[in-house]
Parts: sequence; structure tokens; C-alpha cells
Amino acid sequence: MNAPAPLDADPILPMPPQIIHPSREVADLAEAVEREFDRDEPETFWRCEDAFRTLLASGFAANALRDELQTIVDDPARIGDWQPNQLMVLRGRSYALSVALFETPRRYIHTTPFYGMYAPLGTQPLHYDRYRLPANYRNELFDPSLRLEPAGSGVVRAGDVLQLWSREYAYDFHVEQPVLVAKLTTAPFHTLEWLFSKDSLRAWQANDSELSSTQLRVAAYLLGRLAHQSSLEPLQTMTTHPHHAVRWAAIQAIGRLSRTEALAQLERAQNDPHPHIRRAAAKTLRQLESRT
Amino acid sequence: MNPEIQNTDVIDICELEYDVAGVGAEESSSEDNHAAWYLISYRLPENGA
Repeated sequence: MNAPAPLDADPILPMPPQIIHPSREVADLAEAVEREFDRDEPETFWRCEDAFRTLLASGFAANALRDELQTIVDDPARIGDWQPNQLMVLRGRSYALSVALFETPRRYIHTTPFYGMYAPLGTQPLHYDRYRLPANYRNELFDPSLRLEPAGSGVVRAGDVLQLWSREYAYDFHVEQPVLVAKLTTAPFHTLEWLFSKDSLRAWQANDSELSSTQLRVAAYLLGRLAHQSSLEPLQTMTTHPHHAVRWAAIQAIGRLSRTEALAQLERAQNDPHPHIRRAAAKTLRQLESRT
Repeated sequence: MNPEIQNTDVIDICELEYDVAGVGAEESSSEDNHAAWYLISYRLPENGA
């Protein structure tokens, strides 16, 4: 099989950063990140720390929140760029700046499939525990036998910046009181976000790290249920997606559209780079043979 | 093939040995994961705390 093509590669046209709450200081940060950070070399992200610290010293968060509040007052129908506890301030093609309220502890310890710099705003410090990822951790290959190793605790105070070294560590934040946090993060460089049990420290579940992967899987599932032949070609294209779960969702959907094409895809999938796909394809072919 | 004709000759293709949940899912068991596909929260390009 050919190597999966990067379906989610950047479009040819450059896309300027979307500054949701324009201000001089946020524009300066955007300029610095665009200049210093190369998404193909994620380590270059750490070069942006000085610009992030300059931004933090400017009081940008209060300005952005006041600006958002005024905009909502002026236009009650505005939806804005909010998540339940987070206001997006800036979206670049490969990074984002937001202000988040850490209100409740998470049930699991999550890996972060991106690099990040977190800085508490206001008076509440940010406490965290750090865990080392297992030596044989491979992000794309979920394995519930793997376990985190405790690797110390820390506290970040106003004016400090915590660098999330996500390739080596997972972080668990203590939230005894709500903490407002400025977050400068890269786009995900891993396809999965793993969740580990806080009790056993064992891997519990993996989620898609990118919304687009979830959307593609949902779309494949629905197209399979609708079973319209015009869906065959886009689903064939999806079988080369870099994320194994997207590839498999496409093959499953093809199984509801064309027996001939599904058998061809299953044969091909026995040589897929991902072992879970190879095994699932072989299993399905065995099951089909046993029924004939 | 007439695109309006729907195919009834389907193949049931098994699940992967470890299911992957959707963005935003925090379900406690793999059985919940299919439902979790629909728990899409808008949190591009990163994943909350």
C-alpha cells in the first residue's frame, strides 16, 4: 500500500492569522509567532516564549474580555468564539491564543497532543502534577497496558510560564479554586489524545486530537448508512487519511456501499502501516470466508 | 451504475480492537465511544486544559 497521503496538509493559499480581539499587543504576538514558529519543527515553538511573556505583561486578557463583553452588549445575537470555559483571542494556522478558566479537575490525566505555554492570570497560582509517558509510548498506537510514571509536581504563579513538554510528559492540573489561564498552544502534532486513570495511571481511552478527524468519521458513518453510490469516491479518498481511525471508518462505510470495493480495500488494508487496521482487516476477511 | 440505486449487498466490517472516541469525549468505557462520536465540542485547534 502507498503511504497515506496527508489529506490535512496546508492548502496552497496562505491564511493570515485570525485576530479575534485586535489589539497592538496581540498583533505583536501574532507577528512573533508567525516569524519564529515553524509547524514542521515543533521545537521552534519555544522561541515564542519571550513574546508571550511580553503579551502577559500587557494585560491583554482584561482588554480582550472587556472587548468581548462590549461586543455582546452591542449585539446580543453574537455567538463569538467561545468554548464553554474559554475565549479564543487569536487563531493562527498552526497555533492559538486563548484565555481559559480552569474550574473543575479533570476525571482523567490527558496527554496534550500539542505544545503549550500556560500562564496563570490574576492571583491564583496553577498547581500541577507531571507524569512521564511510558518509554514505549507511541501516540498512534493505543495500548491500555501502558502506564504513566509520576514525575513531580509544580506550581506556576502569576508572571511565570509553564512549558508543556507534551512529547515526554502528561500534566494534571489541580483546581481547588478557579484559575484563569492564558494559553498559547500549537496545533496538534499527534493524532490521538490519551486519557490515563488517575488511580491506576494506566491508559484508559484515546480520543481524536483534531475535530476534523471526528467529523470525517461521523461523515463516513452516515454516508455508509445512506449508502448512496456517489459517496464511494470520497470514501475511497478517505482510506488514505493519515489517521488510522479515519481510514478504518471509510473502509467500514465502503462495506455498506460496494462489496467488490470493500473486499479490495480489506485486502489492501492487510498491509496498512497501522497494526490495528491490519488485524481488523484480516479478522473481517476470515469472518467472510467462514460464511461462504 | 445508477447512483440512485442503493446497494443492499453490504459487508459487515468489524470494529478496531481499540475504538477511538471523538474530540471532547471523556467516556468511562469503550461501549460509550460510539455515542461519544456525537459529542463534538468545538475546541480547535487544541484540547482544553
